[in-house]
Amino acid sequence: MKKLYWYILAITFIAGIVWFWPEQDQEIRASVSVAEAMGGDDDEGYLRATGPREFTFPDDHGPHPGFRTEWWYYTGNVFTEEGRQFGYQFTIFRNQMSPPDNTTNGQAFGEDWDTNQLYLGHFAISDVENEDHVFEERYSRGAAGLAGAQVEPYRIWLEDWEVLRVDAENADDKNFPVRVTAEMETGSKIELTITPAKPLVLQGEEGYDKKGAEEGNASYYLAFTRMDTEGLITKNGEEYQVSGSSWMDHEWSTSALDESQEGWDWFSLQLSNGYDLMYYQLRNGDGSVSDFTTGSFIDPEGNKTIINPEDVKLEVLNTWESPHSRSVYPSQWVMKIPKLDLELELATLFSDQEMDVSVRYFEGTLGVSGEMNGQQIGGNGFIEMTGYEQD
Amino acid sequence: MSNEAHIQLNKLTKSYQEGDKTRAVLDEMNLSVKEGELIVLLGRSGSGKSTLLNLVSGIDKPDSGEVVIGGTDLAKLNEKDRTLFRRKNIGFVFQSFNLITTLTAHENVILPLKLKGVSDDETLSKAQQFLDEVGLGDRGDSYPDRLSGGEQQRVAIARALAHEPMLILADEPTGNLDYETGKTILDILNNLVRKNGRTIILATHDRDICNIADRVLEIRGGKLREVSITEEAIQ
Amino acid sequence: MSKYSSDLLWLSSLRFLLQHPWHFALSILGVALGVSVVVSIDISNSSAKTAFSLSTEAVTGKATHQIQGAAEDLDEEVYQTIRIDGKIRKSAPVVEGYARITGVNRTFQVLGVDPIAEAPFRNFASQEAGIELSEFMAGENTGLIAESVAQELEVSIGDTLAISVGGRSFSIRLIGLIDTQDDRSRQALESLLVLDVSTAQRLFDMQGKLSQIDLILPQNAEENIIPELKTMLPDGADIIRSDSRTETVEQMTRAFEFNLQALSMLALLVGMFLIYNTMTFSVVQRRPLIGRLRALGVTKNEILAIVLKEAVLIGLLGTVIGMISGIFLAQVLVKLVTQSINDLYFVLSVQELTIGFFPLAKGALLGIGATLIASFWPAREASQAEVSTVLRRSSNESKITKRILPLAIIGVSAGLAGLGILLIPNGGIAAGYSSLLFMIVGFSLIIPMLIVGMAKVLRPVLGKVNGLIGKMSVRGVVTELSRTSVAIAALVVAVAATVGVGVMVDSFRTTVVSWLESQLQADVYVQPPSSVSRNADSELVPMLVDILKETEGVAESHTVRSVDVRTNNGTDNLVAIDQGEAARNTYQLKEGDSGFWQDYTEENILMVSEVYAYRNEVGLGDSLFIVTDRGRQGFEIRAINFDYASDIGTITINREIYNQYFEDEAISGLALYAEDGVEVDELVERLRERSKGLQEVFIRSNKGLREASIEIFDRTFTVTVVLRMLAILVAFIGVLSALMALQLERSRELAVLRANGMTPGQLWNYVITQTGVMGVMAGILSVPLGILMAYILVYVINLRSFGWTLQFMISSEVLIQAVALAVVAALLAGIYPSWKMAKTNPADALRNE
Repeated sequence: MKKLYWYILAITFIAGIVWFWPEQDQEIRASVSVAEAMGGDDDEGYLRATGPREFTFPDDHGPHPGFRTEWWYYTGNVFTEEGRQFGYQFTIFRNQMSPPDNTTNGQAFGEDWDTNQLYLGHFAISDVENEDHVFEERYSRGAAGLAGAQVEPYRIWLEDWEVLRVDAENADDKNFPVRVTAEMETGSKIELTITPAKPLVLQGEEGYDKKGAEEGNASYYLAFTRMDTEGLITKNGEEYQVSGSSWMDHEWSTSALDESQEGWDWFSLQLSNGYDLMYYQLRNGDGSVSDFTTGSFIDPEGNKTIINPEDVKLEVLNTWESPHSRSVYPSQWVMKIPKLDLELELATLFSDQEMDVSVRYFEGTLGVSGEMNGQQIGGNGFIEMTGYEQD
Repeated sequence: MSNEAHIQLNKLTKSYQEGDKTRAVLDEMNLSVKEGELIVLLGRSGSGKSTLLNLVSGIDKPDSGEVVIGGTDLAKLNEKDRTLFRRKNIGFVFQSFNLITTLTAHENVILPLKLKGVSDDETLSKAQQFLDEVGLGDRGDSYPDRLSGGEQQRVAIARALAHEPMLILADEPTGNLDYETGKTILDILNNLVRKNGRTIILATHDRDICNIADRVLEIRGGKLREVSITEEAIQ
Repeated sequence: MSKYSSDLLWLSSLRFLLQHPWHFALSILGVALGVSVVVSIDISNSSAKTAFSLSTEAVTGKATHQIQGAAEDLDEEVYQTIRIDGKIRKSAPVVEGYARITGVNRTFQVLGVDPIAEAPFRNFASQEAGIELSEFMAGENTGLIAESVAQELEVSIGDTLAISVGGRSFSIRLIGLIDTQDDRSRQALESLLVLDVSTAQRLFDMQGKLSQIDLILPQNAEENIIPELKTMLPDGADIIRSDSRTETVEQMTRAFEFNLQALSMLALLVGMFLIYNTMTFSVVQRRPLIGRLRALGVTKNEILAIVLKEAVLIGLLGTVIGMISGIFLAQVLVKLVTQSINDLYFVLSVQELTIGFFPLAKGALLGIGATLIASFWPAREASQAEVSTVLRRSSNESKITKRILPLAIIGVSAGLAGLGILLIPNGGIAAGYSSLLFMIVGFSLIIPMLIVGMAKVLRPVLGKVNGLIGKMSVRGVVTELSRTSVAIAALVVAVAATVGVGVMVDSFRTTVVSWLESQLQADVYVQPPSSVSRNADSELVPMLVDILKETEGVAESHTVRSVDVRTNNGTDNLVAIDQGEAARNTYQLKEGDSGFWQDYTEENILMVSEVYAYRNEVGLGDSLFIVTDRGRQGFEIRAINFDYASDIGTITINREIYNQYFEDEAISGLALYAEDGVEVDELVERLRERSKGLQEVFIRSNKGLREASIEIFDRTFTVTVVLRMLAILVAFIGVLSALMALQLERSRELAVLRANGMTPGQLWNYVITQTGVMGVMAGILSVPLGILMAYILVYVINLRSFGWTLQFMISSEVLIQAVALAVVAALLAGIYPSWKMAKTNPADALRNE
């Protein structure tokens, strides 16, 4: 009968209430808006690399606060007893977030949490056999003992990732072995002892490496191009005893690239005949190679020959498109340096070694083969490619 | 219209508790009414007229005996069934009109039909028809308190007839009305009952009413006694 | 056509209701008020709860565990150990506290974080959210607030906020705004100030310390990770589940919320009496009408159904109105509830109502349910109405006369049952309230008998005063007992509720006032402003303490330190006093001997407040384990003191003992004694002068502090008082409607009286006297019931909720107020019917009903 009417009323009523039912268990979602053009890329107030300078050691192995950017860049190729190859990259970046002023003077402020130093770590292992590239990125403030760089005792660290001086009999303040320890959250891990096998190289003009036409667009650049490496690599729960060779770059600057420059291709090659080649080409936005492209060739004793762009013919034979970023990276090259009677064929040992981190780039292990002075040579290397991001 | 007894009361007994004493109001009363008959029931106040009407309508239940109306013995039914029986088969006209004050005249007439479950179209026209017949066709939207006593009683008559009950019970229908109005009401009642062939029991203490009756019964000492109409007229 | 297609019976009912608009409206009002109070209290409670859980969620984030130190702080080196050596990547340092931002009248929770570690925990405070790290952590005082707060404060990025932390002022440059993406998030963040860890450390003077370390540990952490982590922690630090803090806080307010709810239910109960009363009237009035319908063949069940349907209609309308007005009322109540919570328990800001499903559903269920329950008996009675073939007076009165005794017997049994419930051991608060309910119902069942008794006394009295009319008035109350008793009962319950709550608040206040008198022995008290009134959660600047102590005119001083510690009973408030033996004059012991004061400076013994003892079920001789900077330490409870400042309870210990176990030099409060002959007010002035520029602190005389404390006390009872006022309102309307209906219903009788020569003046006299008599009866009866209720509230419910010993205090004021309330309402209720009847021509009323 009329009961239906009441039911309808009741249902409408309940429906009305249900309408008010609050949405439960949602995450608190928020973002932070900051004022436009805050800080930004203003180099005002930072120290600049304006010309060659004297280096003193061990101090210059340590940090250079006041410059905006600094890194300690370890790459290397190591092998198990059976010849299984792993490439690794371990880098600690120091970023200064604000120009040094009177009160802070660019230093990390001791025990306190206050700091304008931000540390960033990149760590990757390239498992050549499985064509598997694993990587991790970390951040930390350079304070409260969480991250930092210091000379006495030499230690560059970001939480439990660290480079620590290991004292050995033949060590001096310029050349000393270090221990590099890092572990990813997945458990992949390196524990390597790295000992310089050649003297320290001052890249560019006695360590002053000009990268752009503008005043101050340059860096200070030190490198150990060949370092004996020994230790353990753990990946996928397996631990491998490995040995091989590493390369270390220590570079600091406030601004490097000119506005017209888009990125670089950076080769670090260790040839089987004892020579090492560093060569980078800076690419302009229009695709041409910048005049500030440069390189150096280090003989087995550590003597440096500067290589200019006109000395090198570099041809890309093949490319690879990253499934992660859709960036197209070169993957195979022919490099000819007639001045050195050197012709090399270079190829990434496997394609996907892209560092898909806050700033994407490619950092991969290279296979090297070719001829020098008419003799067949081989070798290992690393290629770093930036600025291939699609807009 | 058959000649069989339409209403049959057999040995009807009803008594009330009054303090410590039991007073028998009806004492093994028997009555047989044919369909279409108009019975006038005489009796003094307190003689049991209302009790009898309550028993016949199923409002009350006898201590013993049978109340057979149209073949149904009300004494054997429970309260609910008696109520359902009443809504279908009995029409009431009360001394105090007893209209539902919250319903209009028209709605008052419709109410028994609705209760009986008659569908709407029919209801409306029938109710209107009866209101017309009692001369209040144009007052259907009035509430009882806007009507005079006579008008109220006319609505009550229309209400009692509207759902075509087997039996109409009228309890002192003119009791609350002046003589002239009473006469008019009685005429209307008589006319309508006759015209529709309804059976009616009319309880009154007014002997003037007897001249419209088919039969006159007097209730005295718990028993019924038939009184001839002429005898009444003489008295 | 359609006009007639609806049910005529229902139509008839509706018209009846509409013809008695006063009546109809008042019954709806009765339901509406009851529902409104319940809904508003519920919404206030749930809004407070939601605000709390949202802000907790915002602050706790996704942390599963927290590492905490012994006394509110933790050495920050623990973070390095955990993160670097323990390799717990999902760990984040937190420095927490409270601050007031100038320009907005609420306390903000300050969250000091390392945005780099925040991503897994609180996305709004993380580097990924877009925080400009160079501005945030470079050593300047910078921070973030939610965009909505910035709008409220009319500030934008780059502006500076002036904030105050425990009386010390700071400015914070706003370097970003937190854009919340939905309402919930906005609510969660609206009282939050996000700073860098270092900034927060500076604000709270916590260099080198953290409040806690948040952790996200995998599910099986209990087995392997936690035991391993624990080995890395210093003494006193521990890993606790992050929700255990929420639990503690929720436990704190449970009794408070429950009592509010119970009081709101009391309002509904009074509302139910109203409904019962009005429904009974509406049925009694219609008895002849119903009788006629029955004669026409309407069955009993149809009558029952139709009356219940009316009840549903009234319930529905009342509920809807009640819910809407409840939401409005909640806007006011939520402020009071929040204020109380802030005064009593923890910092909470409720900026908006959370109108959830449950409070409304509960309101609807209670509103309609209560109406149906209250209407069931009248409806049943209606269906039992005699079939009327003639107009006749109902025979109900004779029935109730017979029922007076049985009702009274049932009433006494119900009362005894209520008493029985009280005797149930560990009955809890719920048992207390159900006992209360039984007593109320029981008492109202005895009321008819009491009315008859009182009438016997009152009749001759009024006869003397007011002659025949006086006698008639009293007599009328008894002859129509079935109606008058319900009206009076409703009135009694409503008024008694106000008496009960009034007496309880009075008792409480008296106790607190006399306790404060003995507790406050010193002449001047110095306290930093704290975010929770009853909890000293901030510190005095040490230099200020020295300066004040050395002020001319100060004879002596002692200090207190109040700190939250972890004990075997959870997180508790520990107070360390340096008063030595002299403290015996300050603290009133409930249990324990004065020997305590001789030993407590040297032994590991302590004193707990009676509330603490009650809450945690501990007594003299029991051991209490406190997590200290020297590890977990056992103490013996050797004294239990009276303390009305905290309903959570406090532990009191000597400062010397405290110093042995805690590395904490801080002082939370300072008490100073004036030299003989030094004017205290002058001393206060001098002290204030000397404190300038150091820290904004409260320097108050003994009297000033006492007044301030009582003010806070009164504020925490505002909700209760408001509820009491609402109950009075419900009662008032109830009486008004009941008595008015009663008189209106008698219009015919009154018309007869008028026809028989009663003048309009006499009629006024008659009606007003009668309602007045009923008011007096109700007023008188409400006193014993009210006192009974107060007794249960003070000795059972208060005790079971909080564990306080209170002095029972009945002020004549409350009682007079109650009787006056009843009489005034009753007299007012007589005005309209008198006016109406005096004005009406008696013939109209007589003509027909």
